[in-house]
Amino acid sequence: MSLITENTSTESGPMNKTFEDLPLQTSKHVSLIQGLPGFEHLHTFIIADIQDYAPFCVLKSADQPEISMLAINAKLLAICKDVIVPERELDILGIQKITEADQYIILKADPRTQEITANVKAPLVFNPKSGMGNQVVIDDPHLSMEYPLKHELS
Amino acid sequence: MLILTRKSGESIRIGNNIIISILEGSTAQLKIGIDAPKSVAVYRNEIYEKIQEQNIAANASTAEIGNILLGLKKVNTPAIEEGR
Repeated sequence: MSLITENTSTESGPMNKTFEDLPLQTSKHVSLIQGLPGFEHLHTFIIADIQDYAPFCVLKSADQPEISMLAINAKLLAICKDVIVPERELDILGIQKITEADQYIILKADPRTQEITANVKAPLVFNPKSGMGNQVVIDDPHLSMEYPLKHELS
Repeated sequence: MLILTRKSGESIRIGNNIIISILEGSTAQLKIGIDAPKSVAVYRNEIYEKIQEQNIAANASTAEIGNILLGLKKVNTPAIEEGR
């Protein structure tokens, strides 16, 4: 699936912006029952689409806005198709089938290579009705916490 | 740290509602069963620590990754429209 292409535009526009200037839109509040690993004291987050840069979105703490990370809807990543989320995790969220859930994958950049990687091993899984979720571990040795996003690009 | 010696088939109770059972054991590897309420998250510790590291690194690289995105241009993504 082709998600994004290199921006070769020379017109004024996004290339003249910094990331902090990008407007966010279509936000929703979610709650991580166990907190976010690494930031366990934070439970309430806002997921906001980045205007003009969908499907990328921002996961931002509602209580500590300086804690934020970029994410992508897992439904867009071929490697996340048909992953098996442990039944216990779905029970905790009150979800019958994984197809009912919203799933997001946290992204990070390697400071040395500037490569974007995706933690497909540990997606954020939410019940879209309650907004409650957790970061769960997928027990599949083929899934990595540093999956190069370029593998999903054409 | 509390240290207990257990054999296969024996178990340990933590509090009122967590039971850790030794299912199979050898000197090299143990197979354990964990019976805990849904409110208690259970992880392999080394995996949990790795997720913590990844999330901290993701937070640290938010501006950097965003600036990488500024060099990219969105194309049609019909799947996301269906999924949202």
